[in-house]
Amino acid sequence: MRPNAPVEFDDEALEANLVWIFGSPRTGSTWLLEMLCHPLKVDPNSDVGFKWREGWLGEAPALPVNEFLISSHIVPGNGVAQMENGVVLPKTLNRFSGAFASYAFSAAYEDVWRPEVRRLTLIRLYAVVERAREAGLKLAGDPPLMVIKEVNGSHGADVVMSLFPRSRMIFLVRDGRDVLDSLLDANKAGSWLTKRGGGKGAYETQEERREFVRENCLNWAGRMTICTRAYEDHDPALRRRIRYEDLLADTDGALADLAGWLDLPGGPKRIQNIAKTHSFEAVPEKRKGPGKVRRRATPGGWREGLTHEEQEMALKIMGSRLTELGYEQ
Amino acid sequence: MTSAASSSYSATAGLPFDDEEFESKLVWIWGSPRTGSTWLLEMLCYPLEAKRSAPLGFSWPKEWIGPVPSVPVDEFLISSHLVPHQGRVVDIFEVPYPATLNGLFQRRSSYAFSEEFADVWRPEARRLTLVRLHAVVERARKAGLHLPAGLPIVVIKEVNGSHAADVVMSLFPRSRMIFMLRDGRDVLDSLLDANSPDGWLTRTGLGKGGFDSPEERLEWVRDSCRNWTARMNVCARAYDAHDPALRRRVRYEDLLADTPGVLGEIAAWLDLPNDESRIQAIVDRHSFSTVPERLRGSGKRRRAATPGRWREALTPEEQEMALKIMGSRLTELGYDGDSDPI
Repeated sequence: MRPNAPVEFDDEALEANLVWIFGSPRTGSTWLLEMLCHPLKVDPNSDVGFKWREGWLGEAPALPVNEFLISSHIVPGNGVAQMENGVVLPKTLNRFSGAFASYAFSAAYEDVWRPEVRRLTLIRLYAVVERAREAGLKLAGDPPLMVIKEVNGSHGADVVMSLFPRSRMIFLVRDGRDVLDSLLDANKAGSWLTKRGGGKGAYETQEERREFVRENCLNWAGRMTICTRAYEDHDPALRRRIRYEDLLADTDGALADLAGWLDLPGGPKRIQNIAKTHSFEAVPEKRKGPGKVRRRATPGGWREGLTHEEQEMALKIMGSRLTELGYEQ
Repeated sequence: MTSAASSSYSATAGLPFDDEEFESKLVWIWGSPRTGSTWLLEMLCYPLEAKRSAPLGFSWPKEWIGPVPSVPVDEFLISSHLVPHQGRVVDIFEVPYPATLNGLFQRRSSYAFSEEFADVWRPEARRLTLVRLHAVVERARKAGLHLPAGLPIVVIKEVNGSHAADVVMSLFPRSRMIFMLRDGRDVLDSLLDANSPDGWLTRTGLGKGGFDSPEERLEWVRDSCRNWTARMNVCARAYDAHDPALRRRVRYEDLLADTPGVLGEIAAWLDLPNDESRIQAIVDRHSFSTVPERLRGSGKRRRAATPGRWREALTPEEQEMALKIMGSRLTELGYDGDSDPI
């Protein structure tokens, strides 16, 4: 059987044009996604998942796929990450059941399910290309570059990237304490995540908040463990580790470097224009600030946002990963 | 092209088997854990025994050379991949349903399994499932088992994926569906036992390991009642939508009370060998009384095989809570609110 036989695209060419963004939520991943795919903007309500200015006749250099979440189907999460032999690892169905042959995604049958999962993923992504074309969008390549924001599936980065060795991987990192601070803000009563139905909606007791902090420190550390593993196993020419703090400090430079690596149009004027259009300053005042998706774009806010006890807990759980990723303790 | 308008794309091209024929050989067991689903699985697949750690996922008697009409797939859990569970229950118009990733994101077109792209991912999810299951058949043949010349029946125990029964069964309309029922209060009682400090589930690392306070136990009971009701709601939806000729609702209590009769009827429905002597031999071999003493009883996987134990094991407060949450589903499924199954 040839799992890639009856499709009307070159599966290896499409795979080589995929760019997967892994890491953690609250790291500026949507910001990066939209800059790489400028002038397309993510839009969950549109038929293709993104939109463009009416009447725009240019060629789209890259298509954004926001919150694809195929990782959560390939590797379903199964609760809060936990420490195992000194390493924090996400709890996943695959790790729990992988040794049982009868399990659909077992190690014993990986020669069967892996090519089929790869096929499903590529076919699903190629459908975006087709529909974008049908919608009248001119694309820069065939297949075009596709940037997949998959930070919320980072617990499955190792399995997913192993299925797509020809793809590019961006490992987007940010100080885990700032991620935690941002998540605490998103989960409070009236905040953007709570409004969408995905947030905690405040903490009834100090213990509840402490538990939330503990779980999110573990989840961050677990994601970093898996992303690091995926990154180290990936072809060095096809991977980049980007720090949110560096992207923020020198957006033009970091973006130009990425554009060069991805063969995207990268003239200084275009890069400056993209960086300016997507800058925090360009976000209208009413759409930024505490409780909003775009909060403050200021690294180090955790020093004020987290209590002394929470800082201690974060350091205890995240410490070694923070050091490895180049963050001061 | 991947859309229906495609000229040459096919989600089933290149398969070394007839996908529709194979789909019609699948039997999915849904419902809830702790309903005797492994017992039924093994009786339907006799002489094979579910053994997840075995190379094929099942074992058979040494030097067995007889025919093997059906193959068991225990805890396949494809449902948890097609519809990842979010570990909680949500109320939709005051009816509890399992919270799933699909439910949360299906309206966002960029999501891999979105409604907008259902015509793309559904045929491929079906294909993936069929290919994976067919590999079991291929490997069973290679291992020397005497399967039918065509395709054997493949019985998939998927009770732990019941939160997704509606989506999965909609992908396989030609398959057979068994909706395995048991009084939810007995399921709850069994789960409480499994999650006790010495319970079998605790020993696997998945159980609660007991409760620190009566409040914690009551909260756990509440969550378990809601989980059971949510699963039943999804299974009932899948059952109602499935071809009546291809579905059966089987009550654990009935299976226990008249095992040869119920098993014989299911075997005939599945075109499995169902002569009286064979059925009786299978029943005898798999009866609770043949389980060695050390492998049954409190805290063991095989506990009591006695319907109605919840009356003694659950506190009055727990019984009241169970009735309040499960009540309407219990009645719909044929269980009396506070007496023996009707």
